[in-house]
Amino acid sequence: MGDSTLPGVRVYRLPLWLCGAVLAGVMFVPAHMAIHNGQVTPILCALLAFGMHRAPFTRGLCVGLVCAIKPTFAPLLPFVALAFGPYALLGGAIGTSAALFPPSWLMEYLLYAGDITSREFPRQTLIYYLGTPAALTFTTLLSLYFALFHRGKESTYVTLIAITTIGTALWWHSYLPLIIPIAYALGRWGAWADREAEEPSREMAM
Amino acid sequence: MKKPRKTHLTIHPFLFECVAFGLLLCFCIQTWVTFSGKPGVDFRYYYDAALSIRNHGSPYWDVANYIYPPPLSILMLPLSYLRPSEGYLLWAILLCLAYGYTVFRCGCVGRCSRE
Repeated sequence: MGDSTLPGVRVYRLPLWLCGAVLAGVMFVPAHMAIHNGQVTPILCALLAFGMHRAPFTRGLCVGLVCAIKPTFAPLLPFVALAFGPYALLGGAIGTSAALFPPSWLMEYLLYAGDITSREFPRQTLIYYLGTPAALTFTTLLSLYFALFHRGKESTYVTLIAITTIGTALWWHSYLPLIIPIAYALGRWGAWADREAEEPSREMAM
Repeated sequence: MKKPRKTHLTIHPFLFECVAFGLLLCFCIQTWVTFSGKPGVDFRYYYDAALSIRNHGSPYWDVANYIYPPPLSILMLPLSYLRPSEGYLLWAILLCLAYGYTVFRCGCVGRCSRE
C-alpha cells in the first residue's frame, strides 16, 4: 500500500490483489464458523502460511507441528516431504515428535482415537459421501501426482494443502485452510496484472 | 497500443477507514451474531483439557469431546488461568490475528512467486 499526492488531495493506492484477498478473507464462511467455535484451525493455517516460501526444513517443521496438533493434516506431511526433499522430511519428523510428549497421554489418546474414528460426521464432506478409505485414497493419489511431477514449487505446496483439506474435512469449519490457495491465487493474479500493466509502458518506451 | 490495465484502487483515507471499519463490523456480525449456538464451544473443550492437566488429571478421560493429541492441551495452559469468557476473548483475538496473517502472507507469497 502506498499513497500518492494528487493536487491538494492525499489518497491511498491499494493493490487490487490485496483488496480481493481481504474481501475473500472477510466473506469466507468457514472462517466465521471456526472463530465462532474457538477452533484451533486459524492458528494452524497461520503455521502453514509461515512455512510458505521458506527453506525445506522450516516448511517441514511447520507442517509437522500442524500434524502434531491436528492429526487430520497427517496426509499432508509425506507429500510435502516428497515434494521438497529430505530436509522437509527431517523438519516434519521433528515437528510431529511434539505429539509424542508426554508418552502416557499419547497412549491414552491412541486408545481414545479408536472411538473418534467410529463416529459419524454430518454430511458436508467427501468422507461422508465416499467413506474414509475412498476419500483417503483420492487424497493420496492426487497428492502423489503433484508431489512427484511438480516438485519444489510453491504452487505444489498450496495445492497439497487444498487436496488434504478437501479429502479429510469433517465439518464446515474444516474447510478453513482453503483460504490459503485462495489468497495465494489472488496474489498470483496481482503479479500477472502488474506484468500486463507494464506492457503498454514498454510499448511506449519502444 | 493496449490501454494500461488498472492494478491499484485509489481511495481517500477517510473512505478507506470507513470501508475498513465496515468490513470489520461485517466480519464480527457474521462470526458472532449470524451463527446460532454458544460461541467458543470447541474452545471450552481445549480449556477444560488444560484445566484437567493443571489438576493432574487426564485430558481424555476427564473431558468429553477433547479429540486432539496432547500438545494442544499443553499450549492452552496459560489461558486456563483466566476465566472461560476472558480466555475465549483472548483466544478469539489470537485467532483473528492468525487468520489475518494467513491471508496477508499467502497473498504476498503468491505475488512474489513465479511457479
